[in-house]
Amino acid sequence: MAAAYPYLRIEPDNVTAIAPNPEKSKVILEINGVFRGRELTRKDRRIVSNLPLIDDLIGGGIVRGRISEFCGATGSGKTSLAMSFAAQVTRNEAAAWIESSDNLDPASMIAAGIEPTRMLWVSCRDAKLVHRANRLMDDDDPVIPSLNSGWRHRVPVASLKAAEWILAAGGFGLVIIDFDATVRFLPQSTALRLARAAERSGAAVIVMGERQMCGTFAALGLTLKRYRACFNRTRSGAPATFDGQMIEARVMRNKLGGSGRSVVWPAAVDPCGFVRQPPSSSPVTRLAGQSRYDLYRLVPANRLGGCGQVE
Amino acid sequence: MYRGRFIPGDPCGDSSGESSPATRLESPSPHDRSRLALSNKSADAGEVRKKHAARIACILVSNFPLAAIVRSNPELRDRPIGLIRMPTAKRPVAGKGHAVAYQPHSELTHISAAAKAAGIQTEMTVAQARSLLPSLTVMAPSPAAERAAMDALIDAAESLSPVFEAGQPGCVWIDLGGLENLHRHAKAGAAARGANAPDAASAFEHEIAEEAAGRVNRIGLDAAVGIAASKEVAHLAARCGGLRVIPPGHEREFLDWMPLELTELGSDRIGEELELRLKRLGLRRLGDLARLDIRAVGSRFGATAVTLMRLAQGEGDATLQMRPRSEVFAESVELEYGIENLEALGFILHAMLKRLGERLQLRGLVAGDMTLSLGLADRSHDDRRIAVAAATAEVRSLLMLLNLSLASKPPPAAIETIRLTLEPRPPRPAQNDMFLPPSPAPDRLEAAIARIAAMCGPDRVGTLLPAESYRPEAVRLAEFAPPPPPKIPPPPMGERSGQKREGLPNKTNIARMAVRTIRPAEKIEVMCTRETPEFVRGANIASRVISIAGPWRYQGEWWATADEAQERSAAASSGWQGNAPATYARDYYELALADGGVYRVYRDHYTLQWFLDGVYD
Repeated sequence: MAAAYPYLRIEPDNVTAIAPNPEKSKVILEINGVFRGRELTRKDRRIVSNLPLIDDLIGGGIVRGRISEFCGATGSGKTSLAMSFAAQVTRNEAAAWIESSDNLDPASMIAAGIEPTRMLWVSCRDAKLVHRANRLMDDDDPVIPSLNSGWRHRVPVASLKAAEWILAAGGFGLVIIDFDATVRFLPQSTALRLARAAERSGAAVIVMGERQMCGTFAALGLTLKRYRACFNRTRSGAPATFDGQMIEARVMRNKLGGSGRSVVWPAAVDPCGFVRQPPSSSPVTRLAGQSRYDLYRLVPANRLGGCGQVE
Repeated sequence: MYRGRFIPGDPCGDSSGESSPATRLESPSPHDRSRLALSNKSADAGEVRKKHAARIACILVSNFPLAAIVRSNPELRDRPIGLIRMPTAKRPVAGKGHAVAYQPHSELTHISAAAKAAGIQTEMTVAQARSLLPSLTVMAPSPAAERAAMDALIDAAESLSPVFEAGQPGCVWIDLGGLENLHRHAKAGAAARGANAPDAASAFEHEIAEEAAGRVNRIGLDAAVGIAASKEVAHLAARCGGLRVIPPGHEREFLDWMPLELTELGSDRIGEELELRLKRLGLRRLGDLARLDIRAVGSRFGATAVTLMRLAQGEGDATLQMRPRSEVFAESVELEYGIENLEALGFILHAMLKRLGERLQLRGLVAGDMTLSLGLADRSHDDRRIAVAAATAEVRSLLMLLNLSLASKPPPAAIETIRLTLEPRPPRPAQNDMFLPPSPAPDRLEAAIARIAAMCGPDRVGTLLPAESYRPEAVRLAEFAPPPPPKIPPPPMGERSGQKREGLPNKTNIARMAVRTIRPAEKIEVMCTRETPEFVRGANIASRVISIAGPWRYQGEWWATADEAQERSAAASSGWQGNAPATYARDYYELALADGGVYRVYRDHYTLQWFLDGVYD
């Protein structure tokens, strides 16, 4: 076969020798190139958070047409991170925020840079998730028995159905599904259905919850953990102010890159007023048992004479 | 249904040989054919005038009261039905409200085709008809159903031509002038058929007639369509059944063979006497009358005969009188028995929504808010207005909203009459740019929002915005209408004006800390030492305080008058902020608790209560 169709031999070192015309061989290689999965998700099809630490960690941003999971306890920074991605999307595309409870704060949303008129908000709190959604859904069992106990997990069918309808409508760049703490489990069939809907619509889907729920159908699993809350006083005796949090993000699963890496990044109440001081210039002495991240702290910008260098 | 072009000399027949009972006419004799040729010659003389003659289409639903009832109850379509002459008093039925009563000597005014096939005729009594067909369904005319069917018929006509006139119930005329530009597909189809201009025009009119019949069929009615140069001739052509086009200049040929019975002379006493007198003289067709001297006819038979004679000569009125009409998209159903089951009601509402959806679709509109009026067995009315978050034409979503409204507040008694009104709204136009990111298609987006609103509630989907208030938790909901993507995307966050500072790079690595608000604020118990929070206990949290920021005092809206405060308090009590007073004075704290979260809590100065307002996430 190689003799009849020498260009089918995909050996870059030998291409020049087999095909006399390099330009021609290049064209042939493009046509018959090996199908590499990573090429399906090009960099320009990703959504960045505009936080270089996070974008570098996850290989350039979250992928369109796939599910990305942000997991962590309440207060671990999931909402802040999701809003960073939403702020980039809503610059010129529509996005949707579906939540199981009424927790979305429009003031925080606007402060994060989200264009509110491009953000469709859906709250499924009053949808009587299990009972009412059970009547509406005709193909999914909303109540699944747990494997290890007798009690049954609650599946947010209304949120999932809303996400499916929005994805089917098309035209959305990002769909964020915010499950509350009571949601612990998604049936595999439901996760598969959500993944397929995301793939068909080409929208990036962020699933937020306390734990990973989509399993193998998520392209990215990011676990967030509050590292430290930063309180500050302008002077001794003055009331303290809450500056923000240091948050550790760890890649638990990444189909399109490496997993296991982690970074610590800051989330500040006022990012323009505070910058993160790098460890090298930190006056704090590293103590035994402290990790290098303990040296990071939020420092008011005026202490550094304007805005200091940010790592 | 009859489909065919009018052939001179065979006015109501067709080339395929099929004919309906209404179109059975005698074939012309050789003597008549020679007279017909003469009339053709005279018709050629006015060719120039005919080119600019008006063209009127008559859409006629025969047996309209019965057709309206069948439209409201599609399950009756193939059953033998007879309508009695006038409704009688309703009789009470145990547990089912009132049912229509009829007497054995009540006369039938309209009968369905199935009943006619069984030998039943109009003006038979119910007892006579039942002796022939015991399974005959006897019903009373339904004015509500007729009104809805007539509105639907007018909608179908108006979707074809902007110039229309509603005649008697079941009859609508439309002006075909200038429709070639509106219905280009029909014109193209006609051009493909016809070789020369007159044939193409005739083929176009056939296409329009088929289109009209198809649209009327979509709203649940079967109509005959007649097209001619005047309203009367078009009406007579439609009365022959099927689709019938009378070419310009051939009206006399068509009318010559028209029996007097089809002219509806017998509808009143004068006409009935005239018809009898004409028949006594041997005048049985319009052609016989047209050849008489008009003065002699007028002096002997009166004005009615002159009008009839002018009609027989092909003269008629081609001016349509349009009357202003309120566009109401409503459907009404009068139930034979009262129903108490919401599931059964759902089936009826689904059929009504489907019919209304077809009417809206014909007009290129979508449904807005709905009004449901239920007439109950205890003679009371249940009127409710159902808000639709996003205008949609999807029946399933609208039905879901109706079902949710009925399930939340069921009617107190059995339902006897239903009237459903939809507010028409224009669909949102869509025009995407080739070089911009795709935005949601308006129709699909509205359908999705309507379905979500039906599932979650209309106040749970939209654009969430901060309200114009100093109260931190105040929010308002707006309709989701994303603006088109900008031609030039705005710069990233770090580069925006007001956020860029000296030395601060575009990408700061610092995210904005977001707050997850808790709506309504959750009442908690805070244990303090020297007015400093030490321990927090609530429904979902119980933890020691690690760090504190604050307090920050928020105080506002004290300037509101007592009435405004009361109004706001009433509005707030029904909304998310159920426990928030209109006037507020609070001390806000940010508490880092031992469970790992940083919470925003406040102490209300009026109630001295502590509330959990949000959590930083």
